[in-house]
Amino acid sequence: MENTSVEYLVSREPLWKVCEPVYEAFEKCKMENGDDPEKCLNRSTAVVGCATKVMREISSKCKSELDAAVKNCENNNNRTIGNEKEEAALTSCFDSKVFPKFC
Amino acid sequence: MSNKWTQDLPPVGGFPKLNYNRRAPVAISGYAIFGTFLVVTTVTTAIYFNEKIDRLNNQKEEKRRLSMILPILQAENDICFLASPHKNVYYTRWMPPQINKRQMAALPKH
Repeated sequence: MENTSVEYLVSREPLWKVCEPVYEAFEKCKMENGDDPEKCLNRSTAVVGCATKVMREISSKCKSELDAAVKNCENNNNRTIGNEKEEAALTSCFDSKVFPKFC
Repeated sequence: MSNKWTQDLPPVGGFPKLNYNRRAPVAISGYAIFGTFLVVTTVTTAIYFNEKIDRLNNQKEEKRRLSMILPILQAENDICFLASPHKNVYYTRWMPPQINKRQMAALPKH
């Protein structure tokens, strides 16, 4: 399962809603242990795993909203500024269909 | 013989008067030109700076939103790096760009 960075970008708020503790632990580990990737490998794996899980759910249950948001973002030179309507649709779909599974 | 040639004479009452004076258009006053310049410059400068502020704010917001996916990219980069053949080359290897120790030292300590 591979996701593009634009897919991550348009679904950043759903991702943060679920994976915030994981992200924060990763960043804390990075700040404490410096620039060695080996010391935070567990955290890195957790971050990638969490993001992949959530993105898999979003791609299966909110595919049309995700595709619309990605298409609009890519047509807009990969800017998210004009993309609020599509992202709001994606977030509401996430809140109703995907988020109950993770909480 | 006397009717064969007639002398070319001016029309009765003379030719119309030739206007050979200098004819300039009505001059716009310097104050009016200067005032127009000031108004146009002020308005366009205001529009320009408003748009510039909007643009900078949009850039800042874009950066903030892009930074929200940085943990994923960093983690993927770390895992790919550790899975690469450079894994066992300690201390002489290239590291992916990350937060450095100087930035870390600048953070407030708990």
